[in-house]
Order: sequence, then C-alpha cells, then structure tokens
Amino acid sequence: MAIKIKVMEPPELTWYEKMYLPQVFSGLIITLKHLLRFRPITIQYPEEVKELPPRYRGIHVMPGDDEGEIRCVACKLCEVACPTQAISIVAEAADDYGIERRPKVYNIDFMRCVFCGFCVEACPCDALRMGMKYELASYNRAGLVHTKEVFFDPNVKSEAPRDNANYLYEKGMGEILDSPEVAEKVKDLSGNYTSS
Amino acid sequence: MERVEFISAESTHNPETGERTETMMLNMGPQHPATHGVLRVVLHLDGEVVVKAVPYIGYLHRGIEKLCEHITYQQCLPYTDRMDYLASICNNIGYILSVEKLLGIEDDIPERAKFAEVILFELGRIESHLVGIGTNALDLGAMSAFLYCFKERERIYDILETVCGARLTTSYPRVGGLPLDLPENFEEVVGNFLKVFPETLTEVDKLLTRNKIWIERTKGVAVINAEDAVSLGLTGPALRGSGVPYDVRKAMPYLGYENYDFEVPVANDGDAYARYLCRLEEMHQSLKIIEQALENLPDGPYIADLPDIVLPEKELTYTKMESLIRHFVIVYEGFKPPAGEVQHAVENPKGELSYYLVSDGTGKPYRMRVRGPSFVNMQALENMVQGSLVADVIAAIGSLDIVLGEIDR
Repeated sequence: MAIKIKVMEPPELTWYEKMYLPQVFSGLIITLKHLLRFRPITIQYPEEVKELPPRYRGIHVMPGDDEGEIRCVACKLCEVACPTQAISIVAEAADDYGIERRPKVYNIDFMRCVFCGFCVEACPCDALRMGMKYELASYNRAGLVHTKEVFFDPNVKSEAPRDNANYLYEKGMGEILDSPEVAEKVKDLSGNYTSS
Repeated sequence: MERVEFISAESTHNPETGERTETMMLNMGPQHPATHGVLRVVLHLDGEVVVKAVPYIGYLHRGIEKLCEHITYQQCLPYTDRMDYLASICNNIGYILSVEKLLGIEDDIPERAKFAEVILFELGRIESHLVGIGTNALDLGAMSAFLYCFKERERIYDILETVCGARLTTSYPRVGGLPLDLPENFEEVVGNFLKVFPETLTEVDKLLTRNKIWIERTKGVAVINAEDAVSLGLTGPALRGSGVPYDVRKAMPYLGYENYDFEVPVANDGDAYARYLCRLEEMHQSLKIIEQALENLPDGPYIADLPDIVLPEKELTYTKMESLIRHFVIVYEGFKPPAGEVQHAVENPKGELSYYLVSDGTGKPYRMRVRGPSFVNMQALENMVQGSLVADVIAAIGSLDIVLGEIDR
C-alpha cells in the first residue's frame, strides 16, 4: 500500500509579510475580533458550576433500598477490583431476611482513589455508584478517608432487585424452596432465617 | 550515567594575558515552566552558547511498569492514563489493543467499538497537538495562540467527559469493546466540534504560520537531520519533521486505519518550524478521519460476546446466579491470556507508543514494558541544542512536545 504523503513546504513570505509590523497588526485584528464578539468561555467557578454529564465519575454514592438501608452486602468485590486498594470493608452479620452480611465499616481513602469507576463496575448489587460531587479538599489527611455515612444517600433509589432468589420468585422465573411467607414464619420463631 | 560536574573543568587559560575563561553550568528546571513538567536540563554554557545539554529525569517516577505486575490486566488501565496525560485516551486504547492481541481476540471486537475508538483516538491526537502547539507558542511569547488552542481543547474534554466520565483520566475502553455504549448525543457533539474546530485552526494558522517573529524563533532552530532522527529512534511529528514518512497508522495499521483516507504530513527541514507545520496538518488529517469514522459509525453491539473475558451485563448480574458467579470470577481472577508475549504499537500524538506484554498464563501480566515516544524523543535534545543559544533550548523542548509523566512513568 502506497503511503499518501503530504509534503509541507514552509511558505514563501512576500515583502509585505517580511515587514514584521503588518503581521503584528493582523494578529491584533484576530484578538480584536474575539474581543468584539465577546463570548466568555470561562466559568466563574464558585458562583457558577459547570453542568456535568450523567456519566461523570465523582465521589461515590451508596443508593438506598426500599427500606432506606444501605444495599451493600459486604461481598468485598469492590475492594478486589480497586487498582489502588483504596477501599476497606469490615463485614458483620445481618439478621434481615435474605441478607446475611452488611458492612460494619466501609471506607474509601480518597488519597488513593483514582476515580476509575471499577468498583462500581464490579458491584454485583448496585450498592455503589459514582456521584456528581468533586470538591474533596480537606485540611487534614483524616478528612480524606470517607465512611459509608458520607456515601449513603437514601434519596438515590436503585431499581436492581435486592436479592436474587426473591426476584426470581416474584418474576415467576425461578423456583425457590420456601416462599417469603414461610420464611417470615421461620424468622419469627427463631429470630434467624433458616431454610426449612 | 555520566556525572555532572558542577564546576566545569573545560576552561581555557591564556598565560600571556592571564585571562581565564570557563563554561558555566546552568540548571534549567526541574521547576521551570518551559520544561513542560519536571525535566531538569543541565546546560553548559559558553557565554550564551550551549556547549552541552544533559537532561535529567526521574522526578515523576512512579514505577508504573512494576506496579502493573501486581494487578490484573483490567486494573492496569487507570495507570496508563497517567503516562501521557495529555492524550490519556490514546494510551488507554493502545493498552487495550495490546491486551486484545495477547488474548487473540482482535477479530471478535465489534465494529462499533472500533469506530468509536478511532474517533476518540483522533480527538486525543488533536487535543495533544493543541497543547503542543499552544505551549510551544506560549514559551516563545505568543500568548493568544495558546489561549485559542486551550479553548478548543476544552471542547474536546467536554466530549470525552460525556463519553468516558472524566476529562483527563478517561479509563474508557475495556478489553473486548466499550464498557458503556456511546451516549445518545455523541454524533451531535462530535459533529458540532467538527464544524467549530476548523475556524480555530485557521486562526492559529493565521497567527503563527506566516508570522515573521514565529518564523525567526523557530526556523533553523533545533535542527535534526533525517539520519540522526532515525538513528536516535525519534517517532511522531519529530521524525516526520525531518522528512521521514513513518506513521504507525500506515506502517502497521490497527483499528482499521487502512480503510481511512488520510495523508501523512512530512516536512523536510527538521527544525522546530517543520515540526509545527506537521502538527498543524496532522490536526486537519485527524478531522478528516473523524469525519469518515462518524459517517460510517455502525449500530450494533459495542462489546464482544466473550463470556470468559467480558463482564456480564449488569441486568444479568443482578438477576441470574450463573452470571453472578461469572462476574465474581472475572473480577477476582481477571481473564487469563495464554502464556506468551506480545508487542503492539500505536501512533500516539507524540510518536510511536508500544506496549510489550508478557503473560505467564495467570490473570496478571508477568511483565509490562512501555516504549514511550516522549522518552525516546527527548534523547534528541542534546543533539538539537548543541551550539545554539539558551533561548533556543526552550523552543527545542517545546517543539519536541514531551510529557514528563510518560518519560518518567
């Protein structure tokens, strides 16, 4: 395949262009044109805030479920997916029906976080999303390690099903051995969910 | 490495008159605005003439290549953003292409992803060249050209933000295609950019190309002939400015570049002005490529159907146990390329960027080596500035268009 080449020749200047001053003035005319069609492209930042696209990757947000609880089940997949080990999770047992674990501690260290969004991609239950906030400054290092209380936003609702088995049951797509009503009874008696 | 003598030994002594002259050592950088980062150049000056220029690097070293040996192939992606941060999308795409080659799945990548990657790649090229020309002009005193360049660059960042979610650290494509489809208004925003951008290019062209001051400052400055350029391994506009028509897009086409109609700009003088002309024309050619790609942008899948490599759809992860298990396995262990090694080059805005990946069959790269264009191009600095004035060192660094994030890695 022959390569198409475009040879760039330096332009031959006319005597007029060599005179130095005309070029200065033609440059000034361009800047003057911009001055006359005054369309500012800068934003007066603290007063005006730029509109962000929906995909923007800012500080994380933890959406709430129907009961206003954190959706995270502490599977630690985000911790694994993080390229910089910014996330640290400590899990604890949860007694709710269909949920066995929840995070006791969920911290993201924003001194390490690179906002790649891989944690959100890894999350298997839509418990973590990238938010729209980007103002992160802090006077000390401790102020840059954010906890789950900072991320949790009950106003952000998630459409994803809370747990797999019940979702399939409701959709009529799968079979589960015990229906929620039966499971509730079992839970009432013992306080813990046990499969019958 | 040669040790710098802080007091130069190259002195001359005239016994008759008792005069003694010696060269002066001048430390340019690391905190010098015209070195485009943290480059330290030790200049040995005889009066105002440069006798020797030794660049010292490593102030921004983060050990990216070593870091990547301990994380999965997918997790290396954000690290590639931070090499050539002026065109991070080009680094991303280059890395993704190398991993796809390692996996042997180049043929499975959907067409839509390829076209989108071409558009983003060329946007990255324009963005980088705008900074290259703008800062080169700024260093030599042409402030307004710089401002108009940065105005347009902001437009490209807006496009990248809508597509990738971040302006600078894009981390966008994934192995196998795109993580999310292109946004609905993508064609519209890129179309708008294509309409607006040529106007600024003409303005920059008017401000600089025939400007006597610009020509005086760049023409015949920092000259490197074709032979030296090839033997030093220069690539990109630095090589094409010396008259060698080498472009990876033509020599080793990737992403279907062989199907696009574009020209390789070449200038024969090998000076800073020739490199400027090449960059300016390359932006025109990039626009041409984007236009063609946008016209032919197909609909259809944006990510390959490869269950071992690509994460399952979120909908399936939420509802299907099998997909959930697959999701866990891919995130935990990463995909596992067959043992072997691969090298893939792309034409980054600054030159040939190539990744060399060695796999031992696990989910993490055994070795990742990056051949960065800036690092190699910077070698030419000493050659270029020897015997010229101190002020021309600025022009030389600016016209090489180096990025220290990539040199130090």
